Amino acid sequence: MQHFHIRPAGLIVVLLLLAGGCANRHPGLEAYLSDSDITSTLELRDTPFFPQEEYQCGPAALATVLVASDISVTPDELTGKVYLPQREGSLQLELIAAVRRYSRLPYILDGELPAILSELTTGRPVLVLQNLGLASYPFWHYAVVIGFDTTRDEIILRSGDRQRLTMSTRKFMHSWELADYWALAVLRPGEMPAAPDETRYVHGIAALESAGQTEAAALFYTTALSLWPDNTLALFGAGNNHYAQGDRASAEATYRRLLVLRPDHAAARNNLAYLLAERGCIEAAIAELDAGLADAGHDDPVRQHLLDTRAEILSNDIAAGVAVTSCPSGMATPHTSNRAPHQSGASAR
Amino acid sequence: MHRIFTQRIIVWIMSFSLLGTSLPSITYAGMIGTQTLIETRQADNTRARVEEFISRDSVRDQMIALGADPAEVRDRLAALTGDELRLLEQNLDTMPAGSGVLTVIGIVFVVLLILELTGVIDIFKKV
Repeated sequence: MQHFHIRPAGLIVVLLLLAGGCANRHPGLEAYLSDSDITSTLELRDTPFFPQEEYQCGPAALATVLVASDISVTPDELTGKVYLPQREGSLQLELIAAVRRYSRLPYILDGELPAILSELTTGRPVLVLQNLGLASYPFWHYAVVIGFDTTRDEIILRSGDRQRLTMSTRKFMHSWELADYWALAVLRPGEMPAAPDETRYVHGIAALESAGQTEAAALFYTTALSLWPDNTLALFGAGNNHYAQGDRASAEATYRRLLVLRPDHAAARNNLAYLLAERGCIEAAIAELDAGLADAGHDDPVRQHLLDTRAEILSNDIAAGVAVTSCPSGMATPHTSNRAPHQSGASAR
Repeated sequence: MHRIFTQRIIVWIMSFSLLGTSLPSITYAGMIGTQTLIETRQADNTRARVEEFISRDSVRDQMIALGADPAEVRDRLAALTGDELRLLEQNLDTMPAGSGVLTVIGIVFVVLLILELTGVIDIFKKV
C-alpha cells in the first residue's frame, strides 16, 4: 500500500526534472539564419575526433580545435596542461591559457548562435561549454560544434565518445544558455574572427604576446591594424612588438604614428623616449618625456613611469657608450597640451 | 584586524624579495608593456605587479591542492594575464570545470535505479 503513495510523488519528481530539462523558450535554427551569409546546412566533416576518456572532455575538445588549426597534439599531451584531478574537469581559463601556449589566439565569441554559425562558415569548429544538467545541479561538459542542419533543425557536435552527436537546436541552446553561452574560437596567427569585436580582439593579442608569443602576436597586430588602422592599443602593441623583436626603426615609426593620432599617449612617449635614449639621442628623448609629462594628468598611472625614465636617461644609464647616430632635432612628434579628442574604438585603458 | 594587516605586510615584503626571480620578464626595463598598460589602474605600477605575483602564487597553491602536477602549474599559469589570474584566484572553487557526459550517464543510471527500487518505474524488468 505504501507504494501507492510513493508512485505519484516520485512521478512528480520525474516530471519536474523533465520539465527542467525541456522548458525552453529558444526558437528553432531557422530563426538564427537571418544573415544571408550563412548557408542552411554545413558540416566540417574533416574536423578530427578524439573520443574522451573518463572526465577528459576538456583535453579531448581542446585537441579537436587545436588540431583543426594545424597544431599537432593529442588529448594525452593536453591533460597535464588543463586537467584538474580534484575537480574532475578543466577550467575555461585553463583552456584559454593552453591555446596561447600553442601560439593560437583564443577568441571568446559573442554569446549568440549566429556567432558560432559564422565561425563554422569560415571553416573553424567552435569549442563550447554546455551544462547538461540543471542550473542548480550542473553537469559541465565541453564539446565542439562542427555543423548545423536547418532541415532537421539540429546542431552537429563532436562530443564525449560520440564522433557525430546531433542535438536539436532548442536542446543545444538550452544547455549552452545554462553555461552562459560560452564559446571559444581558436585563431591561427593573423586570422580574424568572422565577426570581430575590436577591443576584445586587440586585448586578446596583448594577452597572447604577454604569454611569450611575440612572433604570433606580430601577425595578429598586422591583421588588427589592417582593419582598424587607428586603434591606439594595437599601434602601441605593434610598436612594443617591433621593439621586442629588435626592429627599432619600425618601433619608432609606429610610436610616432600613434602619437600623431593621440599626442597625449603618455606610454607611447615613454617608450619612444627610451628608444631614442638607447641610440644616444638624449635631447630628443627628454623632449618626448617632457611633452608626455605636460600632457599626463597628476592621476595618470603612467606619470611616475615617465619621471623614472627621465631620471634614468639623465643619469646616463641607458645610452652609456652608445655612438650617437642621427637624432631627430628636439621633439619630432607633435605635441599639444590640450587634450586630444579620444579616438573611437579601443582606448588604451 | 591587526593580525591580518601584519600578515599582509609580511606577504608584501616576502613578495618584493622574490620579485626579481619569479616575475616573467616580458618587457625591457623602462619600456611599458602592452599588457601592463591594459591592466594599469593604480598609480603604483609596482603594486600591480606585486598583486599579480601574489595571485599567481595563491592560484598555484590552490591548483596543486586540486591535484595539478606541481611541476606543470607554473607553465599553466604563465599564459594567463594578471586580470585572468585574479579572476581565477577569487573563483577557482565555483568556476565550471567541464568534465563530461560520462558523469551524466552515471547519475542518470543511479536515478533510474532508485526509481526502479522505489517502484516508480519498471524498466529493468526481465522479459
